[in-house]
Amino acid sequence: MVTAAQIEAGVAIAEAIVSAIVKAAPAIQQGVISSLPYVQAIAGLIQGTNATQEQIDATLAQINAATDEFLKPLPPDDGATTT
Amino acid sequence: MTSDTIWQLIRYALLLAFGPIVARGYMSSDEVTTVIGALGAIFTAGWGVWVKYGTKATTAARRQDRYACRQSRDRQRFQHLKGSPMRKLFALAAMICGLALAGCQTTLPSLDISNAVSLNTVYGIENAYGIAVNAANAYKALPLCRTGTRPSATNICARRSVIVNLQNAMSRARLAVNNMVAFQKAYPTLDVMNVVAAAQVALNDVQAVLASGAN
Repeated sequence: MVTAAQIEAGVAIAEAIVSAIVKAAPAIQQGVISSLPYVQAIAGLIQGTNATQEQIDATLAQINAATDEFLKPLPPDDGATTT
Repeated sequence: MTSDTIWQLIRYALLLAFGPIVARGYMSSDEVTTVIGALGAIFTAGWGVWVKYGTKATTAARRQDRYACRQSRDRQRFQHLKGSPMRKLFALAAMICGLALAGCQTTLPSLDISNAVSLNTVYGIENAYGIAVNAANAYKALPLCRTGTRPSATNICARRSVIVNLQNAMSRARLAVNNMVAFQKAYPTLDVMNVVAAAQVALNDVQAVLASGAN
């Protein structure tokens, strides 16, 4: 028999999960949207579309810019995020 | 050596010579085959005229003598060929055929196909790298995990140590992918498998570090 306390505890966990997902959602959504052109390009190759040198150069420039963004150093650690 | 044999050798040489034209898209493979076929017809006709040049219609009584004479003249012409530039052409064509057979190929290499394969392979790896970079950026955009906590369903966060490792792996992947593209661009007709393999290894490293972020 499930008690009211157990149900409340379950709801609290569910709320925490939803809250965490909502907080992370913009970053995840951005990641998915940004990856869409790359996924479409791979799908095109699978369907038989041939790549051109211009496409390769343009994509590389785009990816190098995204890599530069990722390689920017993290803010210094004050001991609160050492993990 | 018959005209058929000679034509076959020349045909192989022409197929090789037309490779770059097909690669650059000026002609399709079918068009090249048609052109070479037409050249074959012209060559065969020319060969026939050359061999028969100087002969006359004869009576039945003198036909046999004429035949022996013509055979002798053909032999002399062939001997003459041995020392001429045509001999070098035949030698070149024979060498090309030998190389093709040595590589166990039933057809000569088609430069346009290999080039397209290289471009597609490089583009595919490049796009996979693009997806990895976006995944890394999405991970980095998460809040950093507090000291002593681990990522979980209720604590979606990014570990500082994972991001640092990911940055190192991403630097190597960036170098490998840029090298791959530069190689393909500089040597469009060479095999890109070595640089592609290097890029794949670097991307596998990125993927492994990304996967460790969930632990």
